[in-house]
Amino acid sequence: MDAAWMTTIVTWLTMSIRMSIPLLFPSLGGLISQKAGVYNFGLEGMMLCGAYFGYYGSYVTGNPWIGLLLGMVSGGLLGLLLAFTSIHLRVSQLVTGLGIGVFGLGITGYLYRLIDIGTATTAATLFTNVDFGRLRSLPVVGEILLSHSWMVYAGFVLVILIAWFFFHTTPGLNFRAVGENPQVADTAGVNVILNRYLAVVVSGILASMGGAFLTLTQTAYFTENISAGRGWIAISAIVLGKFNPWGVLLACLLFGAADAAQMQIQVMNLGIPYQFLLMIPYILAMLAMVGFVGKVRSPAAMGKPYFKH
Amino acid sequence: MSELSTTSNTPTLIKERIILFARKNMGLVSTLISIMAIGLALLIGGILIAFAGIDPFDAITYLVKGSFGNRYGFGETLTRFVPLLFCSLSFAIAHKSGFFNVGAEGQLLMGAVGAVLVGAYIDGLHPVLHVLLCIIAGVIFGAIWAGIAGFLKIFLGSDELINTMMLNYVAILLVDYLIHGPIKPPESYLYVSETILPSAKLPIILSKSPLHLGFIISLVVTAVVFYIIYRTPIGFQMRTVGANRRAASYAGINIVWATIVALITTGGLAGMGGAMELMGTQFKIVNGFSAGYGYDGIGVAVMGRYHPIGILLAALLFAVIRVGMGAMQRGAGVPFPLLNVIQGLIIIFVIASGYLTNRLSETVIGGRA
Amino acid sequence: MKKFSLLMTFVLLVGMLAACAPAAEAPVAEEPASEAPVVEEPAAEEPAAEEQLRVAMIFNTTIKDGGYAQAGYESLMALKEKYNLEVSYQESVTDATVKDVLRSYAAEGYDLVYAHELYFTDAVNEVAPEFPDVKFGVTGYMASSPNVVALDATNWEGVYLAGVVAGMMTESNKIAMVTVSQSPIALKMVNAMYMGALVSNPDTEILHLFTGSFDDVVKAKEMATAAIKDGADIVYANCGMGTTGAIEAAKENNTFAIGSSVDRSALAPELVLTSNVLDSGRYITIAVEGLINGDLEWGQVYVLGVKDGVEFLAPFNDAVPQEVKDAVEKATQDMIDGKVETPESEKYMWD
Repeated sequence: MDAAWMTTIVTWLTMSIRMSIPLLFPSLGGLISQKAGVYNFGLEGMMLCGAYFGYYGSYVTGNPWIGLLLGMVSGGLLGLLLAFTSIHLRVSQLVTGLGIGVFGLGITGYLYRLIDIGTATTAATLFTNVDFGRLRSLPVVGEILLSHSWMVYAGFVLVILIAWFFFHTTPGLNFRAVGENPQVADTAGVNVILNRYLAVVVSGILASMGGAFLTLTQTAYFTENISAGRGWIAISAIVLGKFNPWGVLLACLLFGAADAAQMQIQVMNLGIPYQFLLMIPYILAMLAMVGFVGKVRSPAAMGKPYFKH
Repeated sequence: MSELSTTSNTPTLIKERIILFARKNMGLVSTLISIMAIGLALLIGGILIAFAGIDPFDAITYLVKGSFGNRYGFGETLTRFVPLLFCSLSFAIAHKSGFFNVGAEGQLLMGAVGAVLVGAYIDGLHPVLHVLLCIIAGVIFGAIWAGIAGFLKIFLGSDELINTMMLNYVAILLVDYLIHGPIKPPESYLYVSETILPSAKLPIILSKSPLHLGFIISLVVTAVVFYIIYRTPIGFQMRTVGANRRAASYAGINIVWATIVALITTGGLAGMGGAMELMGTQFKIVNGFSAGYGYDGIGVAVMGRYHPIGILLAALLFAVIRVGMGAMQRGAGVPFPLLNVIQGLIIIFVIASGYLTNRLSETVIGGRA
Repeated sequence: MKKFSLLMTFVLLVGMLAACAPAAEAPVAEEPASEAPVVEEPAAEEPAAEEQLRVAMIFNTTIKDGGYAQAGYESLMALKEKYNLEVSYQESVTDATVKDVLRSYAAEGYDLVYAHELYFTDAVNEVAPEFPDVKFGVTGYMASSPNVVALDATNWEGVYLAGVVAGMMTESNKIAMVTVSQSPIALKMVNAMYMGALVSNPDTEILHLFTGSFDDVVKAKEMATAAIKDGADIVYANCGMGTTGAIEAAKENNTFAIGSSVDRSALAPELVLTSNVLDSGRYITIAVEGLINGDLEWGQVYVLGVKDGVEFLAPFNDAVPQEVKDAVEKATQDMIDGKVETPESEKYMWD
């Protein structure tokens, strides 16, 4: 393998990780919400709010942390809205989610318009990449794994935390019970309503972090519809990941890798119509569903409102 | 509510009467509640518009005027109504059959591809025959596209939500590829498909407006579809499979067959919507041909509570929003993103208002959607 | 339930009928449509009998795209001030709905309806014959009706000049170009860049990438990064809103960039060598002033470029040496003298 190939592969893998993170945050958010039995189809709108408010906070104060916080608050609020309509009002989670998507697109676009026209002064302050010192210059690994901002590592840590929470803690067990069989959970003394509220709000916060990742580590600018449908892909990643945090991580990496591969193939100029290249991630997802994912079982009470008897 | 009646008598009597009336006229009540929800959303929207320095009454006037107040706008509204209706029917039928089809967007696009192939490349047919063939082609293409997800579900147990969603993206890219080469007119400077021949175009039914025959067809199809679902054996089988797979199999229903029929119908309806849009309005496939009809169709079906009249009204509402919002921009200068905000508010409020209806009827519509 | 259905059908029908007959007996007190959009105070503001010119503009993106549409919008607003126009615009109009928007504007009696997008060309030419009294303008390539004027940039002359800069400034001889697609216009740009670079650098290689989207900033950034990792040392970005992302990638990798559409130097003053500015606001100005002064020929296509001042390079940054500036000057003169061939738009020149 010559050096050029090596470079291509290293670039591809590095890029795969970066492209998968804006999917990972909303996917994990959606996963938490769905584990508790509530569909979150508003991920896209929450991402957009995270992206806009993250950008805005950082642009105004010069501090990306404040931006991130602001973004998380906005996502949490939208989560609260979804929680209220789906848990208290018990109306269609899917359509409320669609509504949140349209609303998020509109409100961020409108607020962005109120900011003065784009010059350098409207750039947000970005999070810098984590400084790994001399380790960064390690061949291959240094570039692929150690060249990112803290949010990338936070995403991975979240996967571990969520997996541990679900499978190794009592609250996590209760949490899953709420999504599997709320009646039984309720009888056992688990607060179904509270758990579901928490889940949906946390899911909004995580989705908004995915959006904030775009504006606070990637671009420094907000543009209308910056999430470009990633909130929808995230929903697919949850199913593809079989409702398991590790599976979701793999699914996001797969989407990220396919997207990055598609770009690398373009760089190599192989003369394939680009539409087919852009199809790769989607077809891969479908094949993966059939091939090695097998039958997916979603939480039994997912999408069903809960009535206390 | 019955506990209340023991404490005080007269107010409860009135209350119970209201509830009784509501239950008897559930549809009317739910419509009224939805209208109030829209009013509330518009109120908030109006406040936002006022903040933007625009007279909200002026803006709302344009919303109504633009979509109903003149002949062209009225025709345009009913034209937008057609693909919305088809997509919502597609989602509703799938829902009744226990199939979660979020792929109307892709199926509609593929339906348009089918119609453009027949409409543009087959020459010398009688217009009636040509139109019929185009519609059939649209139905077949839409059904095949839904059929891929259906095949994966029936035989390989693969989740249809993700597959229909993925197929939307694939369809968009496939159509993009097609209009970049295979079905692009060789002399064209732009990436569009061939234009269909005049014999494949649907006639205009309201002069000086874009309203075409597809509007009538869509109403007829709606009636036929709901007749099939509620009045025929296969419709009964589809609904039974949708309600409870296991019970259906105990009852001796051929689940595979019922699912296949459901799939053909759901994909075919969306495909037909694409064909109508192509033959009545666009005449060729352009960038962004579908413009989100497939996704709006989901909202229409849910808001219409899967009920034929409800769906008609909800589709009309979405069409009014689409057309009226353009008029609000043109006439009152409401910024485009603000229109999205208002649209999102309307969706959220109308859906949330379903709570009241549910409480009144005490039959809660839950389920996956 | 059944009774209700009947009732609702009735309501629906009544609603439709009421809307069908907007003229006299409609109870909603609907004025005739033609009167609808008249502004309230023109008489007060304009004591002269001169009628206010009404201009409408249609965009396919939002007006805050930091480029093409924004330039058009700003020109429209400037014209509004200058000539006291009554203006209206609709943004984010899709190719699928543009015909309805054009007809609505024309029916509302606007004097000039301008569609600021290449892909609206067919629609404008289709709708224009229905409204012979209305003037239509389009940023496009065809004017088949006597009341249509089409204005477009060459879309390559400015890129050629950018190519001259890139060819002289590159050290790795690899120039990355990030565009939206592989359309004929994009290929023309790529070839123009190549020709411009060849003037001084016979070893130039072009890496052409396309994002497939006008607004995916992140994708554009990743693509530019991939190209830089592949050895490109100059990034030319012309991919809608994505352009900012591609320049961000250059900034992160300390690589020179050339912007497009508008002057992008503010994004990275040390690294953005220049930008090939396409003053897309000029079209609407030409159309409006042409209508006012009566010196524009309708039914014509105008292709505008460097000579007309529609395309030019933004001020260079400090990294660009004098000899490059001189070369650009010479190339500009050559172009005005007609010594530069039009690049082909079917395939890459080097294939």
